[in-house]
Amino acid sequence: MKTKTIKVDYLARVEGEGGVYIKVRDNQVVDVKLKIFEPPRFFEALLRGRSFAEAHDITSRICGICPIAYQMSAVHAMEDAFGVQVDGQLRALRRLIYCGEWIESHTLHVYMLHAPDFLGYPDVIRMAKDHPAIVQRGLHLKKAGNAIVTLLGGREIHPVNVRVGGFYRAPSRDQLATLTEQLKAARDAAWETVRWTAAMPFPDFERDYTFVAIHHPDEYPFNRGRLVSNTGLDIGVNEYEVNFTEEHVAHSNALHSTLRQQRAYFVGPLARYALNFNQLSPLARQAAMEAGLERVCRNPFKSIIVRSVEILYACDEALRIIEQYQPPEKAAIDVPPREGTGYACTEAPRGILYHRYRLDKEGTILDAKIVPPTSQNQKTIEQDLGEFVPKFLNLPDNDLRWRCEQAVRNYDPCISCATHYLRLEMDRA
Amino acid sequence: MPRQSKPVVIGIGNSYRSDDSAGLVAARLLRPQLPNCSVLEHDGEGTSLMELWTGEDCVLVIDATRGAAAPGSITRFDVTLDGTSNLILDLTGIKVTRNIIRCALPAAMFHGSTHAFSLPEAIELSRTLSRLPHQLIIYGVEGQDFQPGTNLSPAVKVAVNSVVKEVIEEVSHDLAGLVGSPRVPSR
Repeated sequence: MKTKTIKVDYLARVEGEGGVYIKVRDNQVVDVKLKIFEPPRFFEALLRGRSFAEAHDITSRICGICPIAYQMSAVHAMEDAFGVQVDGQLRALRRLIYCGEWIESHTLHVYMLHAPDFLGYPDVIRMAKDHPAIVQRGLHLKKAGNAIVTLLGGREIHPVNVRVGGFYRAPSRDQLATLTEQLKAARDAAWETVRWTAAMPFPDFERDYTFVAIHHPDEYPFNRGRLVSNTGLDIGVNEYEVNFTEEHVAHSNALHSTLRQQRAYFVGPLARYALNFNQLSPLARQAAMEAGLERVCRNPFKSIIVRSVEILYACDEALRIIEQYQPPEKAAIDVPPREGTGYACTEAPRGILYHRYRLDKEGTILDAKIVPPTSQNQKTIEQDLGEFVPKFLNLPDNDLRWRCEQAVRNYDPCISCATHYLRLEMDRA
Repeated sequence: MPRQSKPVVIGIGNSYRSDDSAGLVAARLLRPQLPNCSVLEHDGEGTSLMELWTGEDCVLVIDATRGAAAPGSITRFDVTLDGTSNLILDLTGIKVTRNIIRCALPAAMFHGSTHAFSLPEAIELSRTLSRLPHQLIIYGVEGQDFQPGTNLSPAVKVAVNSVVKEVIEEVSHDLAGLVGSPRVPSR
């Protein structure tokens, strides 16, 4: 029997550290493991005994790339537990700050982490030597996202202005208007980004995924809606744990999630796009069509185009919110605590982020559950590699290893969120 | 030629990762002592670091290192020199080594954060795009414990105090209008 192992000890250009191990026997992949070593769930234990008003600030420290997602899922879960709903301009401001985070996070991934794979560079620094104007465009685009988060979040890193019930301080119309010109330029840059990514070379690879995302009839999803799939799932967020289960596997300290009968599923830009195409703005839909995307895209490598379409959407949506904005009378509504359990799922840049908190009558957290998007994509990433690798076994080891890393990067995995750490090993013959 | 603008000091780290917060603690100690400088705290995400230093004359960054030397050791790099100057101090702040080692920052030392694009990448991308400040000094403080927690190890606490003194001295030289660092060998 011909046996071979290919290892990539340290998977570069992903958030956090971890690895992948692939074992090939007689040209068949017999084992794929996405390995994650970091001890998990530290934050869930840390939350017990803390006040409901602290959860969003504590959990936002899980990730420096998507703190807004953690803040949004936490405050929505608390409001759900206390039976209140934040609407009107406060809700619009929440969508706006989420736009900022999508622009920042997606642009970082598209330009700095994923594009070098498609253009044949080991990293963005080498890519910038040949394409300085493109990389500068990415930096400007990301800066527009930073500007939104800084203005609304109170500061760029670990924003502090979000609270249960709304914000500590709401901006004036004039303050928001300062973002307009920068966002218009960013929207143009985002359109250029869609065109640029659409022209990249893509492997011929598609799978019949189970896509899961939030769906809202009137808007592209950020923080409100039902959880739906392309295979018939349509549930309230409070039914998440009835339908999705987490299990421990020996090679990963991030729990694997499955949908009903052990089915792997896919969360993130491809899922959101497939399940919410009609809710994109006309401009974003037009860009997607021009880029040659179908209404459902099943090639995970093309996630770089879909991410770019979502950047364009986020710029467009941010401009729409700023244009219609009227400052709310109060920056936050009153949210008196009561005993109960609250559930929320919001669309982090990488996919749905589930929070559940059980609280006593004072609003003290009795227990918490957090399921980040990267944990949910682990099984799908492993299955992608299992189907992808046999098509490219004729490649030299280094090229094959690089292809595998690219395939993992399709998911913009955030191991800091899933737990913390990744490495890639391949065993083949 | 005198400086055009005042130095910017940036402390990098994660407050909840024990010694990883060395740069942040240093920045908090430096802020009241450097009223004429911009003293910032940052989580180390590379592209926003680039935004902070693009167009500046002199920037000093303080970050935790891993695997560089004994816990509490301090390493100083001037990444804007052709050859990087490396100055290692011992726990009491006495200089024990000074040599030119290489042009680029030894990236592995500075990957305590989980950001895929962090300080070393930001420096090299800035170099490629001609966005480095006129002078960019990096102080690394070797950590011992990077587990979840909010306290510094004793050796790191001592080192942070030494770095604070070093930075104050370096900034005062800079504010006096000196070009370049007084401590690095001339090119």
